[in-house]
Amino acid sequence: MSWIDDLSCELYARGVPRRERTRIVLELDDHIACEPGCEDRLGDPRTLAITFADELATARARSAAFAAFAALAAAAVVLIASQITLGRLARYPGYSNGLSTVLFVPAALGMLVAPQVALVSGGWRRGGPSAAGGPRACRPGRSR
Amino acid sequence: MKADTLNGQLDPLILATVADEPAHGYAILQRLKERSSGAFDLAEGTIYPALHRLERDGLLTSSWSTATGRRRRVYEVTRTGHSALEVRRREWRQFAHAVEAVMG
Repeated sequence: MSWIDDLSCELYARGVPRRERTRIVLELDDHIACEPGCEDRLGDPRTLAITFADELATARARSAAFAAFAALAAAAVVLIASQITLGRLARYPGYSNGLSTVLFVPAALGMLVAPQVALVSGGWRRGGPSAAGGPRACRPGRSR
Repeated sequence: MKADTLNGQLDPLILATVADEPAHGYAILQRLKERSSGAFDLAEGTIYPALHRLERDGLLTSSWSTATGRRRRVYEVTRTGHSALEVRRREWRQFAHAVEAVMG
C-alpha cells in the first residue's frame, strides 16, 4: 500500500469520520503531488492518524461539555419557570393533581430518557464499538 | 532544530506564515522552511493537524480551490487570527528579550 493508503486506513481504524478523512486524504494527496517522493518527510501515517484522532476527540469533548452546560442551563430555566407557574396557581406542592401532574410526568420522563439518549448518541458519535474497544480493523482500499 | 523545540510555537509560526497571503499546506511548509532558512526539522505531516486545529479555533478559515485539476485546501487568517497573532508576537518578544538578558 502507498503512504496515502496507509494514512487513509489508519484514519479509518481510529474512527475519524468519513468527511474529515476525505479532507485529510485530499490535502495530503495534494502535498505529495506538489513534491512526488516526499512521503518519508511527512512522517509515520499511524502517528499522524493518531494525532488527528486525538485532536478531534479533544474538540468533541469540549463541544460536548458546552452542550451539556447549555442543556443544564435550559433545564434550570424550565424548572424555575414551572415552579413559579405552579406557585402562582396555588397548586404547589402536590404532584398528583391538576397542572402539577401535567408538568411532572413529562419532566420525570425526560429525566429518565434524556440521559439514555445522550449516552447512546455520544457512543454513536464517537464511532461505535471502536471507541471502547480500540482501533477498528484497517481495510485496504482508498474509497472509504 | 528538533521538532521538540517547536512545542507550543508551531501554531503562531503557521499563523505568521499565512498572515501575509492565503496558502495551501505545502506552500505554508515551504514558506516556513524559507523564512527559517531550513532550521525547523519537523515531520511535514504535523502541520496538517495544526492547520485543522487553528481552523476549529476560528483563527484560520479555509476553502477548496482547484489547481491543475486537483482539489486544494487554501487557508487564510481570520480577523481573530490576526489579533491572536499580534498577542503571540508581543509575548514572544518579551520572552526572547528575557531569555537573551539571562543567557547573554
